[in-house]
Amino acid sequence: MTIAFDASRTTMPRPTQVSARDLCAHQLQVSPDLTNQDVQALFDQHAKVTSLPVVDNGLPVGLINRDRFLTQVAKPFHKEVYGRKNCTLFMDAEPLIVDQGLSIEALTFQAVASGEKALSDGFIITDDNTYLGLGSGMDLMNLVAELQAEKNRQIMHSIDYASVIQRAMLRTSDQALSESLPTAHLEWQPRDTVGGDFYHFVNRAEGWFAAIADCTGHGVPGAFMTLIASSCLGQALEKLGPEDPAALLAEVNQSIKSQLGQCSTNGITPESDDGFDATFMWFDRRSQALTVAGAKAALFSLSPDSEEVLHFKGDRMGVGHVDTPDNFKWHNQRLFLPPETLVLVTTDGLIDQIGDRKNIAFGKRPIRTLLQNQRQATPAALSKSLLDQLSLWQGEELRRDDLTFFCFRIHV
Amino acid sequence: MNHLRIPASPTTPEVEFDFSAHSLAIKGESYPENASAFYQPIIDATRAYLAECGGSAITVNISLGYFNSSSTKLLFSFFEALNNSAADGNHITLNWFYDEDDETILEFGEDIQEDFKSLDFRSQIIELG
Repeated sequence: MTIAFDASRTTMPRPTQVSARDLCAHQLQVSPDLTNQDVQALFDQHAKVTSLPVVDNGLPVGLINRDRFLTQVAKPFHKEVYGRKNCTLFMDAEPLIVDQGLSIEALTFQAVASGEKALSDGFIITDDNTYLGLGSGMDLMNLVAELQAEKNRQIMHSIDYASVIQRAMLRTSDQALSESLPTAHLEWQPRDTVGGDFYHFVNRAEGWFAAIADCTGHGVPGAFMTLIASSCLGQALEKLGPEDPAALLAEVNQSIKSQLGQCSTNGITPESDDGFDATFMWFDRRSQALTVAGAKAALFSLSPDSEEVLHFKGDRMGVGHVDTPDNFKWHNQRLFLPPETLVLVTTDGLIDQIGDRKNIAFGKRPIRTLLQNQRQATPAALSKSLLDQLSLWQGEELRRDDLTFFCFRIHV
Repeated sequence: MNHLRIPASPTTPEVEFDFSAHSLAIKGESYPENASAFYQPIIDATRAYLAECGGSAITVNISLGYFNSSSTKLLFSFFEALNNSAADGNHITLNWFYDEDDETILEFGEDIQEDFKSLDFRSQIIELG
């Protein structure tokens, strides 16, 4: 049976390197023995032609620009004196000549370096020194813009896809958070669609575990780090359970250092000095105690009977990194927080954001003040106020880092 | 090399190291995509310079409004190189400039002071104007 379908794939588009060849227009060309009269006739005949390449037996000799040529010819007596002379007289003998295989990027740099004329007159494209055609500055700009847009589109598609993976990784934690602390608010804003901040929540009958972490790097490298760190934390939780945050930090430190080749024993200079800052915490429903361990952490708490916002910093030692010892021990602190105590945990993306009229960091003061002034508000309302304040502070400034913060109230 | 000069970009600071005048300055913000690629050559040049200094009075002026965590690691490597050299006999003054309302940069300075005891650390409020 004959199938009415052309299965040949020879005419399908193939990915190729775009080069000068793609700008080649086969326009009029003139030979060097043509006279200026002939050239003028050609320009009169072809009103849209702005430059004429002069080609001698296949080899490019120069380029005649319409405006400059006509200006010359229009001068008194020039027509009479020069009309019968060869057209090479008024041509540019040193136009930009490029090989057809030249990349668009290199061509653009050469065109810009050769001044305005390559953009206004165009440039000659050759194949193995033989004249192939003329490229125009306008077409080059168009192509550059198109390539730029296409490259951006590809990169953004790639990052959007990466973001699907990163958000999928966080979804189980979203679930655990809404079960353990339904009124809590978690803000996770990667600066570049994907980012280096991540969180992890575990809900148990006895209590809940939470981790808020900020990996080195943002964007794609930061997101790579969150995948490694998060998987290390998952394994550590399986091994040690969720009740000892300091031990979990130590366990994750060891596995990150070993996975990234940062251990001191292997004798090779490690390529990656990456790691993360974090707050790990376990809230025990039985004892009502919050056990916290921090690697350059920032946890603020305000109990209902107090005016003072407590700031827990943890140990000033990042998790992972070359110079963090393999066997470093972080410290747990048990905080007995009365019911209704407000807690806010953040990464440095919030505290360090540049803004205001002096272009300085947001700082911790606004966080303290907000907790004091809005101590009755829900975590969601507080978080909204905080974001509004940050946005006001940030103004026209760009976001400097990923931003994550977690706000909750202790409930019996 | 007597002079290392890197102009500022929106994500990297201005670096002005006049080694012959024993004057090193970094100013601006620091959050490059690849902090190590930016800082490693600076640290290497500084180490090479320090190796040739003995009993010199070196002034380091740092005025940074923002630096990300990757930059922090590398800046600390830079300060560590200075600190080791100061312990070996050079007198190194580190002027740490901060805005009087900028508690974040002030606290960073306090950390540096605590970690690098051989440096003659001086907190300096940035004068307006």
